[in-house]
Amino acid sequence: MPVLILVGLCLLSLSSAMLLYLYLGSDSALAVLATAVAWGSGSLWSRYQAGVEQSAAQVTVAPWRELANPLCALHRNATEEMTSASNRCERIQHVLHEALQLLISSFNEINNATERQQGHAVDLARLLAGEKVLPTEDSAQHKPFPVEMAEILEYFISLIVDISEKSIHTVHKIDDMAAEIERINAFLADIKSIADQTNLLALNAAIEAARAGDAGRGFSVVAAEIRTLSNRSNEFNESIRKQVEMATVITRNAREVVGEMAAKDMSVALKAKSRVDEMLTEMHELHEYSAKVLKDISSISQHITDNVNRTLVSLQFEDIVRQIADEINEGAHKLIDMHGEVRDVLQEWEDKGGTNDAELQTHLLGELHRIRDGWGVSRSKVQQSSMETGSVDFF
Amino acid sequence: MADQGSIIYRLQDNEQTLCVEIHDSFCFDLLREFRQICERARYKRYIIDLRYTTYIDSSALGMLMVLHRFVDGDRQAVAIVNASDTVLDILRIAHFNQFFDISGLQKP
Amino acid sequence: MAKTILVVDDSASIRQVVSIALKGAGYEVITANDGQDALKKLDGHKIHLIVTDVNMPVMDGIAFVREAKKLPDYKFTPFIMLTTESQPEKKAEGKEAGAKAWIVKPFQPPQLLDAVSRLISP
Repeated sequence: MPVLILVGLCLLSLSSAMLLYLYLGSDSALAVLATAVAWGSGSLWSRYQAGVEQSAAQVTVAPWRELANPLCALHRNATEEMTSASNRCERIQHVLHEALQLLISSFNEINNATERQQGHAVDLARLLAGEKVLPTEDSAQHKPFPVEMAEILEYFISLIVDISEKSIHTVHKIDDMAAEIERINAFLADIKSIADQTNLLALNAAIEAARAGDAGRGFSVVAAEIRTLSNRSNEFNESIRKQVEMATVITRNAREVVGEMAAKDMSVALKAKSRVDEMLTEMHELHEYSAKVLKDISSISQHITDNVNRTLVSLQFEDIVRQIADEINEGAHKLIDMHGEVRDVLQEWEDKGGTNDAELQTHLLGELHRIRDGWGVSRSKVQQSSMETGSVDFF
Repeated sequence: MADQGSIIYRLQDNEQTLCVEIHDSFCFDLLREFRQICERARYKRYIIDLRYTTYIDSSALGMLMVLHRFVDGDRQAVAIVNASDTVLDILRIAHFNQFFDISGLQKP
Repeated sequence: MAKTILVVDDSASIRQVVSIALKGAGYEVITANDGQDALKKLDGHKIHLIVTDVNMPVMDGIAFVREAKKLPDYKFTPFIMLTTESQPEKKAEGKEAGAKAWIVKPFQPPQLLDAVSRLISP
């Protein structure tokens, strides 16, 4: 009976070690497990041996056979429990794997969408900040609309000033010409007065010639000719005066036309200029605001990157958990095998009718020793016990 | 257009400086008079006083440019003073500060 | 032209995490499930760098590095070991096989990208 209790205790410690292993999933639990197994089989065996010696002295046969049967059953229970634990372990891995696949693919989608969103936001902000132009526009020639407007306006204003300057200059020339024409008029007046005086002189000459009678006849002809010349001179003078007057009218008209060209109201240009200035100011304000937004976007972008990196670190947990679970599973299978082998020994014992045949006992003892000696502590390949990131070595 | 303009002028600094005051509209009507006054001689310095000028059009700009040529493009020779805000705006958009010494506008 | 990186890991989640990190930095990524699979992928692709796990079924990472190094095209290709293993003996084994860097999981994406860009420019 005490042996039975001992085996029970041993199994209890084994299963608690398994539990510990499942909870801690580390080498320490494995060590406890191994100790338990070693202690279990070792102490069980020493008690068993003591029992054998005792029973050889006192009782015969019967209790041994009775002992083998429940021991077998207990090992079977342990095997079943371990199998079920291993099964659960695999289910955990499976569920974890599926859930993580979903998590990663959603994360990837979110990450990609965020990246695209960021890209668009940056493009838009850069466009508004004037740092970038639309791809459809000829980037070499492109200027923002207000800037182009301002340049066109500048051009027109300088054109107006230039036309005015040249027109005024032309008017000055016309005025100079009018002054010259005025001087011709003065000359014409002089010529007219000379012709008039000549006419008067001719008249006087004709009177004097008439008084002289026949002797002055020839002279009177000359006087008449001179009068005719003087009259013709006056007619000619009048023609010139009329022509000059016409020229004066024409120059006056020209002056008016050129003057109209020179005199342009500047208020339209002023209004346009102030509107363009407003547009330029608005553009600069928009640029400044967009630059601020752009800065904000880049700080958000950094924030997103940091969090993406943190998430990518966390998403590696499945790999670590899976490997640890694999090791637990291996441990479970090792235990299942060990229990199976111990059970086979007990089964053989039971089958042989629980004899105290010394040869059989030695054989069974040997088998149990072999099982015990074959047990080795598993080395865990996974050292991680947290999501703290690992080291980097360069060779 | 505002009232027809008129010109008052005087000589200063031992007849070396011509001071020209434009009253009311500085427009095409004043062309002949402005020229006669300004081109009477090559003064050392011209002061165009616009304190009484209420309106200018592009012909005033043309006249000033002709004066600028008359002084052989010497920016320091012609000063424009006391222009009202509106007149100053017109002088500014025409970039006249590159041709004249204008009180109220920075040298470019 | 973006550089191509082969990522070898039996864990789908690690393959994806590494891919996200590398693609985010502008690399092209090809993946393989184990050493054997990776050897097949080496053929027909121009691969500039390989990131491989150590513990994998079929063919482990160390054996894969040894095999790949025998191929003329991959004699000078840099290998980064990315593993949960951190034992010095294992690292020494990796170094001896010809790996250029050993990163212990979980890794920080910037660590990996830094190691990658030290070995190849993007």
